[in-house]
Amino acid sequence: MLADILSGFQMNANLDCILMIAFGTLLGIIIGALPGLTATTGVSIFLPLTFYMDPVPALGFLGGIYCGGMYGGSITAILINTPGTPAGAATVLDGHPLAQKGEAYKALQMALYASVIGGLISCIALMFFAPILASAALKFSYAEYFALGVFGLSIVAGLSNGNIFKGLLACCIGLLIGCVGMDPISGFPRLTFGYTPFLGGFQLIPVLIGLFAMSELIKQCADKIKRGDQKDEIFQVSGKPLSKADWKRSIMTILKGSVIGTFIGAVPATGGGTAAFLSYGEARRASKHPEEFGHGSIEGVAASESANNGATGGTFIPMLCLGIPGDSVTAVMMGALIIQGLTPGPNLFVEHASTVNGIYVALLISNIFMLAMGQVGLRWFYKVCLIPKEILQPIIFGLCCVGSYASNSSLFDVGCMFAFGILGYLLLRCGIPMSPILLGLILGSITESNLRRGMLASGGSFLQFINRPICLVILAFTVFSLAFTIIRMLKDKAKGKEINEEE
Amino acid sequence: MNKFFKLRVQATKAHVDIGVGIVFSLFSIWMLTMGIRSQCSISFGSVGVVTDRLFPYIIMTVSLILSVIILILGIFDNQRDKKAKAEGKEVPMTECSIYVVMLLVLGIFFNMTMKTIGYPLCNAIAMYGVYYMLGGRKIWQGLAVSIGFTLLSYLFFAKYLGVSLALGFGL
Repeated sequence: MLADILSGFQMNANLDCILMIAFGTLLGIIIGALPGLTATTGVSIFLPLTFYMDPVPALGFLGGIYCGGMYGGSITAILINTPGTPAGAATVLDGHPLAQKGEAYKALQMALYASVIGGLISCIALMFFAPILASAALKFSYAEYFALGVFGLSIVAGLSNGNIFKGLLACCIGLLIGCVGMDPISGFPRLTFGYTPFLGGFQLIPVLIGLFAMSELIKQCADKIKRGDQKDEIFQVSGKPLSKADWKRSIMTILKGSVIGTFIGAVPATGGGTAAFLSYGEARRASKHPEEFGHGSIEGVAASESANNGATGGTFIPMLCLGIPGDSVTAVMMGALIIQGLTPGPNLFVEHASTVNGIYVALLISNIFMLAMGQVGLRWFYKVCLIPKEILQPIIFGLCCVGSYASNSSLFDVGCMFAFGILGYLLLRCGIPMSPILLGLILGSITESNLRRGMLASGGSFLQFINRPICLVILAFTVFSLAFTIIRMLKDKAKGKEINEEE
Repeated sequence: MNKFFKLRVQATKAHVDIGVGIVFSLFSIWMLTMGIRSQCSISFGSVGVVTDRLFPYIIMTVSLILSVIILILGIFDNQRDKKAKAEGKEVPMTECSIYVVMLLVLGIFFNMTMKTIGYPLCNAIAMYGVYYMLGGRKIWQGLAVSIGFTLLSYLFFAKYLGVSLALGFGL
């Protein structure tokens, strides 16, 4: 174990790598602090910069954006009552009332320290648990991989916001997009409609940038035009710093939140937002002053921020060990791994063990950078919200164009990016979520090839998937979770509850 | 011009669901009956139903079932909305901005002109277009953003990373 960690440090022990992690963390904080730009969007936009890097600095850079983005969301949540990222939504509940009381500095400090502690604890959990899960997963055959693929797709669809049927439909869209090009078993062209550029299938990068960055850009621009020059009220970073009493009150909440975050993050398709609300609820239940929650409780900020950053390491566990992303950011990062020639899954721990160790340590370093940068920039980061949208959005547009072109020096990819951006925006408006589309695209070929290999081996019978105990358990769990989600959704509908389908 | 950019199409969520259900049902039926058969050949080594067509057939069957469910739920929601409207309550709405068309135009412009007029000019024009559409009316600010970013991105991607970004005009 110690040798693994040392080898991870060795992988990161060069100036390029350290600088990339630091740059990624800084970018992440800035992106997170900009309302509307999520860590997923940030990672998608800056993914093309990593094509020419080695895997560890590339993943360290993207990991830095992820961790920084999770923390950055709290800055605007506290100062302008708008979470920079969905994961920061729980921080608004107590962070903003604290700012209204003139204690914004204290809230920002707590958000920073809780985020760092949460991030560090989740990295340590990742280091311990990922190799154990990976060694168990090494015993899996094609049947279990097929079952895992189906499980991953169904759980992502089920946990996507709102309507589960739309989430599952999004999965189907992703799977169909993934079918375009060469058949994974026979190599015959499929669904190309006679158009030669379709032979290679859709490349991951333009699809990813289109779905997550361009569609978000269109949404942001449409909102900006609708709102005009209406400005948010920004509270000053004022007040006293954290006292010993605040620490004493919050330390257990932070530790508990970090564990909740790590655990929830490790459940595929959940992520920081869910973890933050669960931790917030638990903190309120366990607190000696539950009446203060919602009116400016420092424990509330500690609970949500430790959990949402605690989820960062947790989400890497299923992604690295099983090839099933923990949330939408790790889904994008899974794409980054594939581009680097690394296939996420248990074999990664055998074939590229040093790279995996390097990724753990890079995440650890990024949390330390976050502490240093947060400490220095605590009073300044909110200023990024003051950048006019008409300056920021053209820059994002330019990054999307050049980024999608740079992957293959192909204008077809730029066209794909625009097409998927517009499709993504329209689907979002129809309440169809984006993450399952990406998951369908990534998991489609793994699921299909394992299904067909299994069926070919048994002469076309599906029975052998059911005859294997682990496979049967995973498939049964898939059916159970789907049935549970559908029943819950239909019950909510029957009660007349409105479903929020916006991602 | 500013009024034009503010144009948006509005519909109730129930109507949108019905639309989604119809579009995806029809598409799934077409794929199941004609699309997959014409676009997926059966390769050598296929056994029984285990062919190149198996997975697309599974996907489209599931897609058909889901779109029919979405359609039915949409019809129920629409009836609920009618009752709510009659009682004077608000119904959930969704809207789509004209901006999506403008971005499409910019995308087509970028794709068609990049090779001929080159990345620097094409990107700067497209970025200025986005700046203008967002309500930016300060010419110097717009030029500084679009030209500044284009220059920096060209230096980084073309000179540092070695991506072949066309300069255009035969250069």
